[in-house]
Amino acid sequence: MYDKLLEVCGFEPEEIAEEMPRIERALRIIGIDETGTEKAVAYINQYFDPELIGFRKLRAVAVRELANLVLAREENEKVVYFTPTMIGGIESFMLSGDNQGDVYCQSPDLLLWMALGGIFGPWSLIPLLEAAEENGMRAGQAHCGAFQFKIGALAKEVIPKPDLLFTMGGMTCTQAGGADTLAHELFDIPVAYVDGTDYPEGDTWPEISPRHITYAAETMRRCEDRFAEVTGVKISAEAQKEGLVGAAKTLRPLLGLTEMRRKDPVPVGFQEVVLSYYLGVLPMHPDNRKRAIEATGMMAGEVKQRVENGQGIAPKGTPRIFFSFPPLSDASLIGMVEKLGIVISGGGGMNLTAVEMKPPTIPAWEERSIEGIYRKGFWHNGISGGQAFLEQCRYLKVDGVVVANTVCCRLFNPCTPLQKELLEKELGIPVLALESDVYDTRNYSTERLRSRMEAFAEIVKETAVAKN
Amino acid sequence: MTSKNLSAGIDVGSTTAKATLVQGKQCIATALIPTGHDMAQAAEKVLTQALEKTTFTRKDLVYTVGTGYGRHGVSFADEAVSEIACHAKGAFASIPETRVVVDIGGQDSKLIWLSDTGSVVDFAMNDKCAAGTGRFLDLVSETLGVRLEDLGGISLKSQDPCIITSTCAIFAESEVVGLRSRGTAREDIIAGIHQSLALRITSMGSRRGFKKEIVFSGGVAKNIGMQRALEQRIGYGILLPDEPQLLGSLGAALIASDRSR
Repeated sequence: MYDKLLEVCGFEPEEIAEEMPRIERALRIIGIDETGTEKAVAYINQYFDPELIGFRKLRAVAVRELANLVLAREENEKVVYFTPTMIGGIESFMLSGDNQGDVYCQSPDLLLWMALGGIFGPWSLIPLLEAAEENGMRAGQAHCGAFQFKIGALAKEVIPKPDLLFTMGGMTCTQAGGADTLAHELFDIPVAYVDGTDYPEGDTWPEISPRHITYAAETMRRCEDRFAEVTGVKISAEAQKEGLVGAAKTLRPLLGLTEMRRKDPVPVGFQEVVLSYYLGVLPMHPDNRKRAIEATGMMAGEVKQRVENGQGIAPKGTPRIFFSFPPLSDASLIGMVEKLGIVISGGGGMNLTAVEMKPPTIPAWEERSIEGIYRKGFWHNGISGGQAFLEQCRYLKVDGVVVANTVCCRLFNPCTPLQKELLEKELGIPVLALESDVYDTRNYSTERLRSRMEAFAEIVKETAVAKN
Repeated sequence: MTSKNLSAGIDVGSTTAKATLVQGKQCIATALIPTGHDMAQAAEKVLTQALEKTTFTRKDLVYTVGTGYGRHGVSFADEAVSEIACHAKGAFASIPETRVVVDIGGQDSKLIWLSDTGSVVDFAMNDKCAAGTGRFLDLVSETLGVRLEDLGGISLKSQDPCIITSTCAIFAESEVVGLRSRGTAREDIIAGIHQSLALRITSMGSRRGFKKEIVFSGGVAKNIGMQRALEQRIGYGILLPDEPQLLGSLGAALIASDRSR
């Protein structure tokens, strides 16, 4: 039943024969039936670039990792999860498969979002969202879809209960800690918190107070101790470094793709780059990590070849836009936008700013990780996020910007009008604030957004023509 | 007449379908019919009606632009253009001083900001809640048993407009039923509804602000009570073109004329 699906996901025939029993078992547990498989194949064929073999191979990595997650309890001694907003020292350790011993580490929120949404389509996530709504995250209360995926998957026993769950307190996201505390209450899962604060004093980015950094870093050290207590594995600086190196090897070719997306014509679609980026930052089994590094390298090579051949996904001179946080578990909106005679050059939280690339101010590992989070701009506060977008827009030389008003994200949602004003004033190009959602596709409809996206594309094209 | 430069704009909205025929920049015929359930059929029919008012036939059309919610269903159109661009084009052609267009349609409401040269510089849309659309007025007229076209005149008699929620058409309808049961005057309820709708629409423009001249387009522009409520919220007068319902199809026809050159 899954042969065709695995084929479009880049599996070789011998890999299908060898790995099918395990993958089939995992997909059955998730509830992907024959209809779901057919829909997935149609979805992939409709919205994604079929010619990029590297991208297809990366999708195969995601399917394998999905199976690793679903079967983690029976295949590993210990299982540890962390929240996707936790981008720091513990996460980097978890990225390193070789250093985990017999501990399976994963961010199920992120993996379910990317692998289910990016391969099986947005409808494959709806049962998880609904299961979360039946288990404490009530519908209509603007809960973040990412955390609903995890709570729903735990409730439906799609993923195993972990031995430990790392989450964030007030830092970066206000919903993570609450959702993971619910996981503790519902499923008796031990939870450890990295705590911190957002920047209530307002627009100080890129200046980051050492007090904020050291406080959060100290809570991170406590979490590392907790990890050792539960798993018997000590998180060393070397292990953290190795984890980061593995992820960096996967991501480096993708950052090259970001640079190549500045070429005219644009050689690769936005969806393929963003999905690859997020699949690349997932923790992975060592074998899978090797495959991911190979896949992203292959993808970068294929795109480079297109640049050399002058091939693009749109004609030369097509106006470009920046799209801050588009839906990533639903390809239909990006698919619609890229048919309107504009291309998406950047966004999705994956472009690095000059501030992020500066050397750290405090050498200790945990402090460096925390500083890295705040430097991201949008984790510092929403206005800083707007300034980070501004920097990226200037670098990408875009003709228009869409700032996504992500309906259920309490961090990004309130700042959209301010970001729109800032970008309009500084860049003098059209900026559209668009109500959508990164995770939960029930909060918007691509068809309903068509009118405003078409109108926006018309304005961008007219402005670009006038400018040139 | 010759067939040279004959272009058509077809605006298929959720409530009505409109057609405008232009020769060069000159409007030569228009038509307006209810959309009904079949948007493609409505497009065909409204174009036929407009052509019947001239000596031309379908074969004489050089270029056709479809707009409105049913724009992608206008199978004979050469191009589909958003209603934002078409309303802006139509308003600017009718009143060159236009800097903001307020369009209240059956399914959504929009504010469109124009540059001095008539280009669209920004827009805001409410398409999520019926409380900001013409559909809200439909509901009220049904609930109160008043003809839609009479709402405006009746509301002007109000001395004490009611305060009605502006966030949800369904809750507002419940409020109207409650007010009616308490014997509140019909004109006060209708005036309150207009104020509620005006608040909803003007709040979309509160950050960017309003700038003269403001032109009111769409079928709801024929409602004098709505016009007054908007003027009260904005703080100065708004202009009404001769045929506010036809601005979208006029803009579409003018864009078609530009494209045909």
